[in-house]
Amino acid sequence: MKKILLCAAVLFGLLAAQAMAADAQPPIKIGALQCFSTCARWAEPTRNGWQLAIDEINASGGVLGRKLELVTRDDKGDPDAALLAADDLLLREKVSVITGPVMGNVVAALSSFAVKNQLPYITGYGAVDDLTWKNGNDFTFVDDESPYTQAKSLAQLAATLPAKRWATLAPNYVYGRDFVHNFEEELKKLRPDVTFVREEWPAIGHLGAENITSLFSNDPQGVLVTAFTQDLAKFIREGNIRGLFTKNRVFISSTLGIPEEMDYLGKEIPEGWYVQTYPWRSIDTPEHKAFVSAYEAKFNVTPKLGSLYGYISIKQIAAAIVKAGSVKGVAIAKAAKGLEIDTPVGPIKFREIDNRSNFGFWIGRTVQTKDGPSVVVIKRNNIADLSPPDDWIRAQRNEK
Amino acid sequence: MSFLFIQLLTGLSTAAVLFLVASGLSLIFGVTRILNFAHGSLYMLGAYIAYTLTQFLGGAGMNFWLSLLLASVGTGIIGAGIEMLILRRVYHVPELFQLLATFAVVLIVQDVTLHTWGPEDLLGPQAPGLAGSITLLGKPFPSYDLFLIGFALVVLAGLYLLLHKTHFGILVRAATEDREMVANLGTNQKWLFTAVFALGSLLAGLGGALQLPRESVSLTMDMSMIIDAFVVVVIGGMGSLRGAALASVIVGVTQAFGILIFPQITLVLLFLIMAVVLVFKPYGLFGSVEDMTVEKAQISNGAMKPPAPRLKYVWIVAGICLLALPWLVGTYGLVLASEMIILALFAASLHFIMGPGGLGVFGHALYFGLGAYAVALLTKYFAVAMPLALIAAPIAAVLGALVFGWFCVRSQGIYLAMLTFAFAQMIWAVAFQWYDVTGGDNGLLGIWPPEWASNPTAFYYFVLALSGASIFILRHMIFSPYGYALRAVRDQTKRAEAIGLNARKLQWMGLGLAGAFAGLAGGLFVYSKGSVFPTTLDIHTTLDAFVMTLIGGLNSLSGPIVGSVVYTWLKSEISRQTELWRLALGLIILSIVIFFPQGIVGSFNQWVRKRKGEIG
Repeated sequence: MKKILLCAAVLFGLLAAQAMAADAQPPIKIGALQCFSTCARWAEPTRNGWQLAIDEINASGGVLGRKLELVTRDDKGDPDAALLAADDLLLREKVSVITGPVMGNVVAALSSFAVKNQLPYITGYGAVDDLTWKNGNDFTFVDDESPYTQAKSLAQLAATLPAKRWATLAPNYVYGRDFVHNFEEELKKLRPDVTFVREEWPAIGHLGAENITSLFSNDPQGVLVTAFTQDLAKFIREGNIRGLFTKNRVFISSTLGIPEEMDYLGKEIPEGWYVQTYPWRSIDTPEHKAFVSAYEAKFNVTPKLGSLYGYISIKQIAAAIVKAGSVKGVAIAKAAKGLEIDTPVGPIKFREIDNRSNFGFWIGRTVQTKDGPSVVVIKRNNIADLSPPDDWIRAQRNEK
Repeated sequence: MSFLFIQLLTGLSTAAVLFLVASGLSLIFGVTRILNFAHGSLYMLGAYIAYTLTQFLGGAGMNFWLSLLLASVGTGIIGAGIEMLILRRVYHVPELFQLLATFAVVLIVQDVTLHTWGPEDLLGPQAPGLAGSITLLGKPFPSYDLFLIGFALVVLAGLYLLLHKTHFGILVRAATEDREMVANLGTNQKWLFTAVFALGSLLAGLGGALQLPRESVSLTMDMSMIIDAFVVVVIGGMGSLRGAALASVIVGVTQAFGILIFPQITLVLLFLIMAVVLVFKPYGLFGSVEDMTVEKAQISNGAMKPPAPRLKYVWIVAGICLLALPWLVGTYGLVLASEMIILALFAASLHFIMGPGGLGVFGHALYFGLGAYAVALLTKYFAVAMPLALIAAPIAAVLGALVFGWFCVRSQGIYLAMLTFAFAQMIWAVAFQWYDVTGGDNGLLGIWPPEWASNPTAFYYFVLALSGASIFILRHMIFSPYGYALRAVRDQTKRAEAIGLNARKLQWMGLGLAGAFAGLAGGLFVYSKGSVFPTTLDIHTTLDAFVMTLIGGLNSLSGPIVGSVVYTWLKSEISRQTELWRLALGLIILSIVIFFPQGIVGSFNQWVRKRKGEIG
């Protein structure tokens, strides 16, 4: 039994030693969480984006005369694990800001953590409406476009198409459910003659061929697809095999145009789908070209949406610290309010009303080119036009 | 009409792949009695290897089929390797430890696959000659899916012939019936086990390789398949080939038609089918009660003795250390310690029902999650104060435990485990899908303890006091007359019943007790995190509890406590140091299983007794 005591003493000693080792260091630390183990295909592009921005900032002298240092943690795809890692980042690593993950529930958890600990949370992905509205707070800042405006924009596009009988395919969780709900509501408002003939709700990662046959059982003229990753790949492949992507049907997808999905599906991507996208191949401003070439030179892979988000959010963090002139949480959060910076995709501003940026997706149609699948851009979402009224947002945010 | 026919065929093609994977799992269980949690990993490896081979050999013509064949053989060889290197060392340890060993393999394969093939999903070629659709009753149907249905039938026939017409098959069936008798008759069990494990792995790899033309190859294939495969095997009856075949068809076809009536039922349908089957047929469609007798006795071997009086001092010293902890570690150390203590209570409650209770439950997250959601919902919607909410947490969990437990205690062994798992998954689906009340997968946020308990030190003491008291009560229960009766039922059910003990009722109450303390742990967990998510109810929470309890050891009261401290610490520390934390954790769990087959505390106790010459 003495051994147990000894082990316990060693254990506590280790804990204590680690706690003491984490004293103040010259660089400004940014805590970055991603699901490196459980959804690496989304996490790696984000990590590259972070790193590129950090290196650029440090090469030009850092922030407030100090270098930036990225401290990464694996959130393991689990909000509770992410919260423990966030405690570690805050209490042991003494980070000034956190940024990170892609999964909606982890983002939501960290947002709640941020306000409890007055720790600024400035992040890229955040496809959860509640994040900046119902559960919005003064410490959470998000670049991602809200699913609400995404759905509204796609519904407005759908309203201009001849299709009257629509079917929807969405993963069975909050994002999918909200997306379909908002899309249907907006489309019915604009086009009272439209009917929805079928909804499919496969569990994430479990889309089966039976969902596909059932989706098309009522011969829809228009189909909304928000499935992603292996579900989307399965849908595309089965659709091609079964000849479902016919000329007389229109397809609208919130996911297919995202580079993370599009680039590896390659030749299988059907032409003529209406998608929201980040068309990294075709944005030809000098700023964006510089971003793409720096990214490709550094990592030897092409940029994805996560790369852009990761890059922008680090630049925003740096700008907020400079504006605050301090690494105090409250000061940085105050500085981030209404912060506007130049990015590879134009100026991006955190809207004062809800701390969500005015970043909007591009809407276009898929085509196959000799370089692979691409999107012909039709327009870009204007967040100011698509957002709900300010009064409504204020009421939501003050409800708490 | 033609639509329904196509839907039926679609269901059958799903069943075809399910059968290939599940038949391998069932064969392996039948002969080796190993619950191979790594079967999904072998399925995933089959797909990845097939992808690489098609890239290397070119995916056209015969080379495509050659790639698939080589991939399945390769997976079979990997399976044989796993069996010889790892499982051979754990056949003598209690059955649940073998499950732990295969879980470690899952972790290792996940990291190895990620770093061998990279993070991107991969899209393989179509099957040459079967790339398009054929028209059946005016509707298109993929010719490859039709091929899959036929192919599965050929495999079924082949396996039937192998099992019934060859010497090897006769040995396999004999071993499934009574492996000790086969050993006594002079068969080299070693190679029989290796061969069966290789065959089962080959079938898993074949199932994975055959998915190549249908879907992308991704890193999540393992977990999404293993659960489905287990469900199929359990519905069919463990070790039964025709059971696996029939259950695959039932699952595939029910899913195909179920979604037509209830499109949103997708999260829960699979578990609903399993629960219904197990409630009416507690041993699956073709399973039998005899399979389970060996297992049950093996869950825990040896009696648990009251601790020696001198151990009192150890507890006192440990208690002083715990009380002094805020002066010994930093704030993060306290946060981590609070989590460890909460999880220790959770693990201790599982230990109570699995060790002394003898019930190998595999859905303990259910009670943890019920307690967690009781606290969260009461706080969110009725602004109930923390003390009151923490009283409600165990009550909610007990109610759940008594309702679901009533069905569960009629089952045994793996069937009981899977039934508890099915119930946990159903409640998970409710929490996940009932968005308006539970917030769905995005959970309920902002549930923090009140001012007086909100700083980490105060919260730590609060958690320590409540969990400490609870663990003390649990310990007291084990050595109460009730605890002795429970263990009598575990060790000698028939004799216990003969002296008038009501076995089912005792176990039912045991589940209720374990559920209550798991619920309290869940409630505390919510306050430590400030939020609740459906993940508290999912398989990962169940697995964590399971791993913590087992690596600590089932035969000792301090086992689950040591297990949860070690496991929580490892999980958070290793992932700080390396992104290969799953590989490292898997290797550590494997070493524990191989070198400390009684768990850390159990093996330590044995070593002490050996040193004192109490045992040989």
